[in-house]
Order: sequence, then structure tokens, then C-alpha cells
Amino acid sequence: MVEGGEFCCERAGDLAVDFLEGQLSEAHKARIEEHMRDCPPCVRFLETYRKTTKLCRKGLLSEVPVEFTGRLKSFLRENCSKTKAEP
Amino acid sequence: MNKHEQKDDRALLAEAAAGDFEAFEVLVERYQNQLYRLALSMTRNPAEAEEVVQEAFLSVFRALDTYRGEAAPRTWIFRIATNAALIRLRRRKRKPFYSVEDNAATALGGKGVWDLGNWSQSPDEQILGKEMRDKLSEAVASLPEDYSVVLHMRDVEGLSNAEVGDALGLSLAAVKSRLHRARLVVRAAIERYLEGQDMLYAGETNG
Repeated sequence: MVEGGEFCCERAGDLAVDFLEGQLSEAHKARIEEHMRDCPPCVRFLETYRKTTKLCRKGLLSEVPVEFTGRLKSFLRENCSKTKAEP
Repeated sequence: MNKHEQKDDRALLAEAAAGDFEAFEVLVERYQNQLYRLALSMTRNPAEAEEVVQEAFLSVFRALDTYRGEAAPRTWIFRIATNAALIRLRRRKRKPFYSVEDNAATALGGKGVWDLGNWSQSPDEQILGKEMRDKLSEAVASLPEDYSVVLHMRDVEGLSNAEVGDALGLSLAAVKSRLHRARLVVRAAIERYLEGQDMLYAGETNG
């Protein structure tokens, strides 16, 4: 942040997490929005940053192997009963 | 189908602690996929991920009596699974540490602000092919584990920042800081990939 309280692009970037979640104070929100009116790169940055979270959700929500659940169930049935049997 | 399926997690934990194994199994079914993906994101190895989930649920079972309800059940289960994965990772050689510094070069992948791409409006299906998924996985895998796990819990599994903090024993500020830096690395990786595909401005509507 520039001395004197003005926003610079780096500061806008630092507030991205809270901005996206709508958790900025009204004062911060107003200042970041004001900054973005005059700063197309910051708009691009925040929009692609937001898009990144969406792509992570869609692109990394991997399939779970079908056999996994059966093996897990057998493993737990066998080993949890052992655990119980222990004194 | 199962008498327990409509019950909430707290009720299931209580009944499992009282000795109802069916209640425990419903809880397992509820979280097994999320824990598998979490473990896979941390170990990068399907066989190890599966073992981590087995160990995690066995630990949950053994700890049923100790659950006091301070943390939400999901958070408590994620914490146990994360610990199981971390124990395994510590046995491995750690990946070379690099600092995910909070500077403009990291933030923008070494670019100047006016060179940033404008792909935010691109349809997901247009850019989210197999190669892009691989690039996303690589970018997350390149992060130190304590960053990638935060990104995975928040952005992939959809836990809140507070839940992530509870699960990992981190302050909210630490969660946000790691999440932000991890997202910057992934954002820069997406940008590099799209640039290589000549799709940096794929979302722009030309006038």
C-alpha cells in the first residue's frame, strides 16, 4: 500500500481472498472497487484469480476408483473388530 | 436404505462411539471419496492414498470415544486424515523446499501487469481438457504440502477457510495467506498453459 492510504495493485492482490468471499470491510471493498475502475490489469487479475478457483474445483475433483470403496469396507470390518477385541 | 443414512454426522459419531458399527460405516461412506482425493492430492500416489484413507478411518474408529464435539465432525475427520497423510510423507524424502514468496513475480508468473491474459470468460469446457487438468495437478503438486493441502481443502473440496484452519491447526490468517499464494502459483500455471495454446484471450469478445 502506498503511504497515505492509496491502493496499489499489489495491495489489491493481497486482498483477493477476502474480496472473493465477500469478507472485506465496506471501507476496503469501496477502495478496491475504486482502484479497479482505473486499473484494467487488476480487473483481469481478479477475474482470472476467481476463475482459477473454479477451474481447480472442476478440474481436480478426480474420480475415485470404484474398487476402492469395497476394499476400504473390508479393511475396516476386519481391522476395527480386531481393535475392539484388544484389551 | 439404511436406518442411519438420514442422520447427521454428530448423531452418527455418537452412535458409533456407543458401539454401532453400521453408524460408523455410514460415516465412512459419507467421507471416503473426499478423504481419498485429499490423500491423493498429498501423496500423489493412488496406492498410498488408499492406505492413508484406511489408516485415517481406523484412527477415527479408535478415537471415537475421545470426540468431544468441539470441532465439527467433518473437520475432525479431515484433521485425522491429514495427519495420517503427513506421517506418511515424513517417511519420504521431502521435496526440495522453495519459498512461495508473496511478490509480484510469483503473483503474475513473471509477467508485467499489462501482459496478463484475459481468459476469465472462457467457457470451462473450452479450456478444461485433459492437458489442462494435468497442468492443474502438476501446479498443485509443485507446491509445498502445507500449501497444496489448504488449496485442496478450500477450492476442491469446498471447506470454509475456518474449517480448513480447524482441520490443520492454523489461524485464519495463515489459511488465507497459504491459500492466496497457492492460488497465485496455479493461476500463473494456467496462464502459461493458455499462452502456449494461443488461448490467452479466449474469453474476450471482440468488437
